[in-house]
Amino acid sequence: MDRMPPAAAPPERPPLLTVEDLRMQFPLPRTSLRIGPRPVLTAVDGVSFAIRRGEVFSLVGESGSGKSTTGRAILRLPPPTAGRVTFDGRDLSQVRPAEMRRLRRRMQMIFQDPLASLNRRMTVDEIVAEPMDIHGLAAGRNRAARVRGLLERVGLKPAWGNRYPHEFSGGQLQRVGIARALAVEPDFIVADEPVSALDVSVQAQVINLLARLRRELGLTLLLIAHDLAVVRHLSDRVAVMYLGRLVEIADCDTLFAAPRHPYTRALLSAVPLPDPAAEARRRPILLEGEIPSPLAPPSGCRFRTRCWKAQALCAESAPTLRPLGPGSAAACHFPEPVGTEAVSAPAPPQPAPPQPAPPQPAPP
Amino acid sequence: MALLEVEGLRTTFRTWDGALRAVDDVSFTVEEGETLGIVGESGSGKSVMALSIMRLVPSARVEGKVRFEGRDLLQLPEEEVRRVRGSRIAMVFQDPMSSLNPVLRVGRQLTEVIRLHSGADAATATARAAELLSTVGIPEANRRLRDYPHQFSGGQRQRIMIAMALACDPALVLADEITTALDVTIRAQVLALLRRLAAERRTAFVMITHDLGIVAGMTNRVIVMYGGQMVEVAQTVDLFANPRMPYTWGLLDSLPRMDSDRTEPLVPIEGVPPDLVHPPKGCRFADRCRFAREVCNERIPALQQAAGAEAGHLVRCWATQDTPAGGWLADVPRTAAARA
Repeated sequence: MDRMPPAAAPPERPPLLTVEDLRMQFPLPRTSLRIGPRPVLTAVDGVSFAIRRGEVFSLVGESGSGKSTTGRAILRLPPPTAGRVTFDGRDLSQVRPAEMRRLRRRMQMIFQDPLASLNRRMTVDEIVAEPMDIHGLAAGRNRAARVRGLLERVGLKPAWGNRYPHEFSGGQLQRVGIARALAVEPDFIVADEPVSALDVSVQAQVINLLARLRRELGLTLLLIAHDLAVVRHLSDRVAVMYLGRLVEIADCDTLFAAPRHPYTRALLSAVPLPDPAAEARRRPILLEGEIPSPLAPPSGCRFRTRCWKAQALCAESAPTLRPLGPGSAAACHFPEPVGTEAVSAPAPPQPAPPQPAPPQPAPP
Repeated sequence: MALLEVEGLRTTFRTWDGALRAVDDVSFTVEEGETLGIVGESGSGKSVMALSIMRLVPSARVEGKVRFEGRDLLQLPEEEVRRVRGSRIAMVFQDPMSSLNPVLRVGRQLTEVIRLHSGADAATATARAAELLSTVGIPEANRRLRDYPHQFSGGQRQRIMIAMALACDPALVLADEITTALDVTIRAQVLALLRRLAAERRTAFVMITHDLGIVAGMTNRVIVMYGGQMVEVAQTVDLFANPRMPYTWGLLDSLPRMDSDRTEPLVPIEGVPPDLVHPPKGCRFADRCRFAREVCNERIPALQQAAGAEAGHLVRCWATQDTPAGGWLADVPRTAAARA
């Protein structure tokens, strides 16, 4: 059985990637002829974390949380508005173009929609070889051999190399996308929703493949996903985002067993379990309302408008991410106590969750 | 008498490569107030089946019987089917934006449905529309009737579609992947809403989904589909406690779960779904099945009682039926660990 390795590299090694106070803003078109500043959408607002060598670090959150934007900003696709991204000791905003090219070889990306992210006029061989050509890594017989080896590594038959993308199923195409990312022997891969377009039976194949590659090649992975069960299965550490900010960051087991931020807790409680008995016991915390618009985020804590614990303080000051225990930090003025019912185990009935109270109006 | 009786439903598309049978001999019933789950992966035929029941696949040949409240929908003139659609059977789709008219106010779209099917006057229809919007949890319903679809969030648009489906108090709602496009916390809200509506109104629901978590939490009975065919039918509790078809085992084992041992690798189903233009001669799942024997490649098994399961638990599988030709998995343990 191929078991997953024990979690996390030793923390004393320097991280492979650090993100400090990352901010990503998009100016929007003017909605009227009025003069004044153009409206600006802040998709990511001051996010900091560090990814250790060899770990799977996941960003989770709902649409509009800024998780994909964060992943792309790290790879400078496009560069962030502010903040610093350091890869292997080098500040990516300061390196010269030639060095950036060399660094890009080491940082690759896997996309959600494999058909849309592959050139459908190229054969699979050409798709996988292209990044090697760009970085001048292999030529001739050596190049063909490497393509064959890569296809085998991701579970495709090398003989299929002369086929075109439309001849493959979704799962097979995602393997092609992974082979392309691996072609330049990266040490860091950003995988943005790599399995969410796949059927469950095929999804499991790709999840196992990612786990195996990470183990065999010592890859460091930034996984961006909304499916919490997938994240739990693959990750060493997990960061939860809400409306452009990090609300909690913790070791995977800690986060799923004892979430400290109310949003994390609500998120975990909302995942249905494929077990009728557990479903009958599960009491999801039903959040009221929707994620507010990032054009007009709430003052203070961004989650306060949907939080059942919100008080006046939450509207006045934005909580910062602070350590709450070993391997766990949350940005909340009133974090959940340790030992708050875990939702990740079939456990005795949960105490009825507090009914979400209407948001507290901000004091004038 | 059952509310809906589907018998021998077959839907065939003509393609350049030949006839594609997307739905192949599907038969089931839905009782009043029941929630039936239909689970399957892409290409299993679950969505085409729902569309066929509603007679919404004009490009395909649909055969069989769809008896609803005593009448065969496949035999009715188009005019009458239109009257049934929307008033007695409603359908909600995955993508609410493409089902709502973007240039009409939501209130207009709702009142149109109400007036068309009930003949109510404008004022009554508007009042009813506002009531429906608040039933599905949209605040300030009266004011929001004047908004256009783009002014609502994805979760709200899905609620509007549900409101529209409920507008005429249908006896049956066909819901096709209606929470798939929604975020986790919004999905929880919509599922809670559906659960409440099913309990309060005695509306029957057919929930078409690929999500076994939703099946477990929402349905009374489940049909598992594969390659256009029904491969397993059981009470929901029984299906999860005692799945009998190797494909169903595969679905359950390949799923990462919030309560599983995460150090164990998942057990995927290797291979790919069958080509329905050139379907295999025998069991559609045989070439991906770890337990297949010769007979599986030779003959399609019938959908019949599973060995060692509750009465009414049907399976289309030589290995787990109690027949002279098969039954070699009749005593296989049910838990994933024991199977592996």
